[in-house]
Amino acid sequence: MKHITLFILLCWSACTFAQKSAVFRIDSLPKQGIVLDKGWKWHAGDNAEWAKAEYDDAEWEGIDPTKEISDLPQLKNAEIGFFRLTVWVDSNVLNKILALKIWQTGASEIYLNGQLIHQLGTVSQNQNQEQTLLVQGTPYSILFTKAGQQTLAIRYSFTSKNILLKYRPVNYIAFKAVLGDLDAANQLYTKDKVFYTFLSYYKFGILLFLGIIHLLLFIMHPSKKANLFIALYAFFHSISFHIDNNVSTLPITGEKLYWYTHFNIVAIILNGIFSLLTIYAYLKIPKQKMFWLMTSLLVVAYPFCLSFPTFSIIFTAFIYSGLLAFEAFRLSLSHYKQNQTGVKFITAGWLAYIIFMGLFYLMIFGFLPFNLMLSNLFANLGLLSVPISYSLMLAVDFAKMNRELSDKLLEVEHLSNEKQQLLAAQNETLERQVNTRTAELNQSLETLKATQAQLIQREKLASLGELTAGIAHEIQNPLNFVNNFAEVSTELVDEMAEEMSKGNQEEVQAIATDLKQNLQKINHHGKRASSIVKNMLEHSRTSSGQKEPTNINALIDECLRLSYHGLRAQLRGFQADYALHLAENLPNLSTVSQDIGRVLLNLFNNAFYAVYEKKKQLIESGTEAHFAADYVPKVTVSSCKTETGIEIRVKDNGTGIPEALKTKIFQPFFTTKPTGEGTGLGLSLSYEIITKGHGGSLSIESSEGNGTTFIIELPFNLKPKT
Amino acid sequence: MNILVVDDEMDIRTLFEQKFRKEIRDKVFTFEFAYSGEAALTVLQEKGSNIVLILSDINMPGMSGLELLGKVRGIYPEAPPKVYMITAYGDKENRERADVLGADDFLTKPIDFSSLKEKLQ
Repeated sequence: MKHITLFILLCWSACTFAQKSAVFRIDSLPKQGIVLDKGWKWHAGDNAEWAKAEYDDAEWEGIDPTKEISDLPQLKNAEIGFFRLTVWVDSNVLNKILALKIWQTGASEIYLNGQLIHQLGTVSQNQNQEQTLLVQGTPYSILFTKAGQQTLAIRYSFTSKNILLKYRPVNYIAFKAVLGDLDAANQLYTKDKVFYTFLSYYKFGILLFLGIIHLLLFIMHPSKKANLFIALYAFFHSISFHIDNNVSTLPITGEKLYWYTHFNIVAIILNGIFSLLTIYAYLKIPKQKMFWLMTSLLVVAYPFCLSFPTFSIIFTAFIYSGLLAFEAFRLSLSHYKQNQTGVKFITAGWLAYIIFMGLFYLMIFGFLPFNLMLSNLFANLGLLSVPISYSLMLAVDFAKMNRELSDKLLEVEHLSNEKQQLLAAQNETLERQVNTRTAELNQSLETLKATQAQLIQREKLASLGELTAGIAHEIQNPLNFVNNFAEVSTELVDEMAEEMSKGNQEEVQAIATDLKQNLQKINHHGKRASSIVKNMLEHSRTSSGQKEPTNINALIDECLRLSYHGLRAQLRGFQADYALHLAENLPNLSTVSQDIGRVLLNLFNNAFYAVYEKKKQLIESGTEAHFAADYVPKVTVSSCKTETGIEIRVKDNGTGIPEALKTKIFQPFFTTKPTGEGTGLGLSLSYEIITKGHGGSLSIESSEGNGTTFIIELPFNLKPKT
Repeated sequence: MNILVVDDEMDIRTLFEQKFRKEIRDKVFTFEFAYSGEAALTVLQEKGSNIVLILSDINMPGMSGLELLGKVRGIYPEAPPKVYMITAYGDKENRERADVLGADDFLTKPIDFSSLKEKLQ
């Protein structure tokens, strides 16, 4: 279509500057200039003499070079020749640089009075050397230095293989010159040039800008393929405009024009393809039959476009663009009712394209009165309406998406607020629950502490209960002696009285000695009983925690006896041997003797209980001679001095402790005794007393079925562990 | 009459010597004292059949009176010495076990010496 524009431009210019005068007398220069279209002579061939002023061209044939080349067979056949024109110049245009506006479709050399003043392209009969320059109204300077007759000679070539013949019909004028005022010509030329350049670059710029914007949008959102297609569409469209700019406004060589035209065809085709792809991607529909039809048409038609330039123009400008426009319009219209605002834009865009381009073509082909500005306006509106509608479509879409996103964001924010409130409420509930639970736990802890204290007390009482019988026995023994010695003393007093009456002084003396001894025995055994009671009271009393020098051996002895006798009384059939191996000269240790005593009693009780249990098991399992023979229950207690302190070993040959239970026996409430018999606190308290209370250690060696040894180590330097 | 008294309480000796002061003086009874079951067996080995009566406590550390009784019955299958068991506990179980082991009599602490004297005589 740009070729048509070019064509129109040419026609217009030709009309504007046309003058019907036959004789060229250049007295003055009208503002519109003088078209040099009359009086031209032509001669085929190439001769340098023909450029000269003095050469006589009377024999040459007349010609109008402003005709199209196709209408000038003599020129077309000759391929090279000379135009000559004789003008008469008045003195008032002398020594003034004038403008010679040139239109040409070939190569030329312009001579004034035999002197080369301008070279437009390279004139040659050899097609390889010829360089066509397409010139459209470019003003070139000319200076008349003398008045009167002047000769203008044009050496001109247009070979049969001229490159322009490859791509377009040669319907352009061969050569045309308009003589005018240089400033006015320049002004006009510049105005035209600026106007078209501006228009062209304006379109190019808009499309390039759109292309870049949509490419960036695609890079940011690769899922939105419509952006990529519209970017490519815009790029190829901008390329085609750029080429159009170059072709329309500059003098251009045939070579350049040829390639530009082909690039243009490719660009037009590609922008058509991407235009359709944009619609498919936007409407999210598969490629339609028309797309494949058009693509196939391109494959078939493109070689023809290269071979037949006329066809290429007709094909791209009418067939392809027309099909594209109607297909795009059909698609957008068929989806018009979809709830996509963008569809309305592309429908409107393609409708505008069809209308404006229709008006443009109607004007070009004379169905409407021609108006250059209007035709340009229509063409530009038509060409820009589609890309702009595409951009608007995506922009509206983008805006809609943004709106939806903002709505969603608000929704999310709203939800988030709700969640936060919910969370806060939950936190509050949780905190309340935690507080309640903590209070409950504290209460439980208090209860537990109280229970623990009770249990510890109960453990003390339990062990006291276990000891009662032992204590009773221990008290009974001294009491028996007290009684017996008192009784025997009474008898001795009687006896003494009897002996005294007999005057047996010696015997009286002996009895008195015995009596004294008996009284001492009574005193001793009384104290012994008293001591036992005192110890019992101490045991039941809460520990003072005061450390005092303690004779460990004495404590062991006392506790062992208490334990032994206690169990004898408590357990039916209890019989055990016990042995003491106490090291002599053990130093006193500073201990809380009540606590250590409690530990010892506990260990002794356990040891006796273990041997008792073993014996009971042997009896129950039917082992014979259980009383005297094979198994002798025995508890051995030893003490010795070590490098760091005193070691007490409590060894029994009882049931032993299974490996699995060894780690548990020091845990509170762990007991192997039947329910109700043990509190399960004895060993754990013992462990506490020895380790934490006295900085010692309580360990165990045991073999299941063979017996157990508890080892207490009390350091000399007793320091309670914190 | 040679009597062996076995008890872990040493004061028992003083008591017996005073209670049987006249009998000892008149050599009606002679007393041997042992303070454990093991010591009693040693005395028995030394004195042999001179010991006609053993008065033994049951609750003693080491060898108990009942064990001693069992052993005595083993040592003297024929013409054994009489064995009276003495204990603080007059419980049925100990009495039964003493019976089973062949105790001749059963005394409880505190010892009723009058009753003992009668038995001895």
